[in-house]
Amino acid sequence: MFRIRNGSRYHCGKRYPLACSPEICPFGSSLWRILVNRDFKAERFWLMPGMRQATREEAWRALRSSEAEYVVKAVSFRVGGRRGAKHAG
Amino acid sequence: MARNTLDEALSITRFLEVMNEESGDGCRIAIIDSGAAKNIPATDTINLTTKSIIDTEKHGSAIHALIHKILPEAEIYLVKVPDPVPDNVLITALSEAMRFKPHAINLSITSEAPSDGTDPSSIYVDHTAQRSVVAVAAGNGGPKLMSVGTPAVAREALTVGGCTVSAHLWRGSSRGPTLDGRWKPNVLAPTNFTTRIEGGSMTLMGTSFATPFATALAAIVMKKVGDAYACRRMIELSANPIPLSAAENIILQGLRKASLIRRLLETWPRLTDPRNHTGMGVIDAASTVKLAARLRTSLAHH
Repeated sequence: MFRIRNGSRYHCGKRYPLACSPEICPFGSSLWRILVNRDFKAERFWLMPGMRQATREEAWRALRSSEAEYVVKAVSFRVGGRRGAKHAG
Repeated sequence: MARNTLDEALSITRFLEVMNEESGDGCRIAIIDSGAAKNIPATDTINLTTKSIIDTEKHGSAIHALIHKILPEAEIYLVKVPDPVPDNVLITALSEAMRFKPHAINLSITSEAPSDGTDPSSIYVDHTAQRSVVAVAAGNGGPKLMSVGTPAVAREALTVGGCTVSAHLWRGSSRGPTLDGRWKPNVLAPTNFTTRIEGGSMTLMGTSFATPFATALAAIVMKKVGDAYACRRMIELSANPIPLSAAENIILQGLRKASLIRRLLETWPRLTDPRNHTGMGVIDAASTVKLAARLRTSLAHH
């Protein structure tokens, strides 16, 4: 959730302007693989630490201008996850 | 006695021993969820959807009913959110919930998005947790390690995993650690039990329904000590550890290759911390209430 795509390249949302790669991942190379495997598409980003929502283009511009220290993908939550209440008998 | 009932859940959390004295009188609890139960009182509600405040998902209503059963005299406030709930709406819901000055907030809302706690939802949970205890469901991504996601990864959240009514870790309960290596969940509470809700018998499965036990306990203790951090720590420190069953194969959310898992275990030993499964153990209402009363008396003498 901490990387951002610009054209065909992914950049680290926490370590701009470095490209997203196992070598520079702030969480280490093994966790980098987990993060990439669990990555998801997002319409919106958060500009941090100001906590303002933006489009991907705006997020990219904010990183370049140092308006944002880092960016995070917006997430949607499930109420209850995959389990829930069931009528019993 | 029937198996897997709410009474058994109240028994292993030792709520039955305190329910005579602690009925929730004066406790304020906010629930952020899919709506209210039809026939159970709510002191006030906020609706962040365009639908009726009444729950149609059989989720928020079950949480509402559970908390009312545990603390029948508590003031319950409901904030209805849509499902799925975008993170900006969750942040609004937390902010709205704080208007009620709750002792505790129940957040049975989950994701498996891995985070180190620097995402906006986790940060806002931390902010809210300065004034109220925020009990967050760990999620149902177990037994994979690192299945706990935002907002359950929030540093100051009381993250609640699930156990069975016979005090065994519930297999589906999400596991830690967080992306920055902190162990989660903080505590466990029972799930997968049956109770009567809105006239019918229901089996409640998932950490969503474990969370109300911790929320109720947090509200009781918070009313006594008035400090959210102290309250969370008391709940953790008085929890009863449970043994992990025989070592399972380590499976990781997002990593399948055995050689990579081995390498990660070598370089990141905190992955094997047992607290990533069970936290500090099953909440113990009797011990926590006793500890809170003792602390209060002790502080009054200084």
